[in-house]
Amino acid sequence: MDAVLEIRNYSKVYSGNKKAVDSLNLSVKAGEIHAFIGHNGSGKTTTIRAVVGIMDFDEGEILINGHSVKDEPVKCKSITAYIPDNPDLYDYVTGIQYLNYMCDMFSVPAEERVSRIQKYADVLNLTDSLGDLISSYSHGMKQKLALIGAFVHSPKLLVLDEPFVGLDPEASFHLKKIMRELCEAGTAIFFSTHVLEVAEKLCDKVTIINDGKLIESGTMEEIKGSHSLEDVFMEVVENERQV
Amino acid sequence: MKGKYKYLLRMQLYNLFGINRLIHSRDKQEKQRSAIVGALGLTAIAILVVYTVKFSNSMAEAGLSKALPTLMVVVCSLATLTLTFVKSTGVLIGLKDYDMVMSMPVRTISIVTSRITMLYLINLIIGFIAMLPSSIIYVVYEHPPIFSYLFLVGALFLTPIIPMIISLSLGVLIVAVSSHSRHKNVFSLVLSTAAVLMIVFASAKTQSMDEAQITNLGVAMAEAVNKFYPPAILFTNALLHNDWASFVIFAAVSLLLGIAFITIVSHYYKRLNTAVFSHYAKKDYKMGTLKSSSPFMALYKKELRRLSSCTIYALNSCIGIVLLFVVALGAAFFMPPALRQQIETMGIMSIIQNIMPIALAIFVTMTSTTAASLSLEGKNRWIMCSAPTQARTVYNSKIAVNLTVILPVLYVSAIFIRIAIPCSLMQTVLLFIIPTVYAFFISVLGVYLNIKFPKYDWTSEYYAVKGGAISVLATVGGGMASSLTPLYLCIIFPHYQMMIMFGITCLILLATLAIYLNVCRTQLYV
Repeated sequence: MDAVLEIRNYSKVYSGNKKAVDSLNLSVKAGEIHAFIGHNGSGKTTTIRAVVGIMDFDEGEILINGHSVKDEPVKCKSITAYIPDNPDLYDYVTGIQYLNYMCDMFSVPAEERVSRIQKYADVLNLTDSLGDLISSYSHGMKQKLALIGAFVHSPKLLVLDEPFVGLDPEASFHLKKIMRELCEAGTAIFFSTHVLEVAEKLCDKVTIINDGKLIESGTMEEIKGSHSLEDVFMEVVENERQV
Repeated sequence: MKGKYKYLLRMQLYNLFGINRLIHSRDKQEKQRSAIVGALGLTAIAILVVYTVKFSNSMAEAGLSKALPTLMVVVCSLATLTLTFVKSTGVLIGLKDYDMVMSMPVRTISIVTSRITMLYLINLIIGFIAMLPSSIIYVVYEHPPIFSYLFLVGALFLTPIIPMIISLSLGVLIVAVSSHSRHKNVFSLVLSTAAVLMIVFASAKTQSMDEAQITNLGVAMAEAVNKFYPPAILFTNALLHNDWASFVIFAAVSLLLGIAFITIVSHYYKRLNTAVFSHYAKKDYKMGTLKSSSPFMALYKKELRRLSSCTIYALNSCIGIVLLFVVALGAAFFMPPALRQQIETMGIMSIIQNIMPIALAIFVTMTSTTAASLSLEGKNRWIMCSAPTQARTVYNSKIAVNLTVILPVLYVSAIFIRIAIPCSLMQTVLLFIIPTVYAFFISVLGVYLNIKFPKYDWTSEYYAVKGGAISVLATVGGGMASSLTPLYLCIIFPHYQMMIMFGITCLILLATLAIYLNVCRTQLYV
């Protein structure tokens, strides 16, 4: 199976010559859920931003479905959905205007968009509020709307930065269910999280990053063995610190 | 209260003119940007000071030095009135840090006072620019008694208070009235535009009275001031007649008005902000059909919604074209016959006919929604950057919005001007073509400068639209320079008017193309 996302020797240097990410390599295949875990400031968001083409980078190559993010950004973006850790949306439009905007931007056929929006909005219990301005939404509602905006164009690669923060338990349950459904339909999912229990239950593969460097990467079984992911993460990071 | 007020004020001062950023940033580009903002600001101050000195000096040489105190109070008050109004709600109400500040153990009056102090300090700078040079020239020419210096220093600190409070009250009143409406942004925009037009035309009326009675300027001034702004007459009385009582009343009125305003706003502050932050939610949406658009149209519609949803953005970026419309309408249908006759007898009609396209272009170059459009994406910019569309399409949508704002109003105004002033076919064609070229130029220049100098980390839209936003300052400055230069050249070389206008328009067209090609090559990153 070909990789939908392939990161090769990716490095990002911020001003002051500090390497935020150092020669990172990983790949996510179609139908795979890949967790990306690490401490705050370890380089997760920097990597994710480069993957979705909103941040330039210095070294390495990032390929989505075989296309280079650097050379063919529009092609890559058209098959990728991204939700940042704190999705700020346009406060001055209504929920449905935002979703229609996303459908326009991702060229979702007119005849399909209503059914797709309806499907996810019903599941996430947001349909009634779609006619209201986003500024009237709670944090959780905004997050749900951002999720619908991401799912609605049936992406080949779904990139989520801390998707479970701020969601109520019901929405969290439905998100996990939708992620599995998308996965079965062949979508590759790459997401960062601090909730290790979720990563352990949901993911096929996991990558641990510390201080911009890849520490461990592999299938969930390979990484954690008979331990919990939390124990493994703490041990690996502690060992790195001592080194 | 005093201690916490101090901390609140200090935190705001950190944001003033980006000084804190300049000191602590390790980013060279950031420092360069701050240095450019500083240099531009200082240049503007220097130009204003030189202008004030020259004007005050020529008045004093004409034997009108006694009119200087009144004049400086009027100038300072009008500047404060206009500038504060544009900032009023953006600085006082609806700020993004409202929740954080209000959740702290500090009294509301401290928060309101700190915000108003901040505005006062900015107005004080404007006041010093408007009043200090004239005060020095007044002292040099009039040699007033020593206690008059006290009046002058007092006036420097007190004069901005009353106009500031008037403007703030107007702004707060508009927020209070419009917040009850479902379409509060549109309502607020209409009210604010009407208020700005009122202020601008009131100041123009005052100025035209002075010029009409230039031979007896002192009397004309006193009359105008009596009619429009009584506090200035108190200060003039104090200074010219050594009247302590007038000065005490002037000071007392200024301070009491300030205190009363702070007390009233503090009382209603929470309610006002709640009204601004609360939104109408029906929660009864039913899925219907959805209209699809191309990415460009989707971006364009979103940009139009952005413009109509933000009063400060619309007011600041579109006021030039609104002014043009009002002036053109006035010229076509309300021009006094005496003025028309005077123009004809003075033999300046042909000059006016020739330079009218450039005059229209001046208003056009005051109108740039693009200069702040990228900055206004703020924290939403991840959506724009991660969308599968060329950066060029994003820029084009922003340019299209500015053209949508300018071109229809420009063409209607040009028709009005054509009704007011008889023109040849060639002059009529130029009346449409030259300002159109400028409309494209200012739109493209705005995007280009906003790409170079974005300001995404704002706490209120005010800071992206005004508040030292370098892209806006540079766009309006560059645009005005590009239209005022040919106007100036046409006036000093009247025989070459057509050649100058053609030449400069061609240059502007070439510059527009060059800038646009550069913009199209620029990628968008967060």
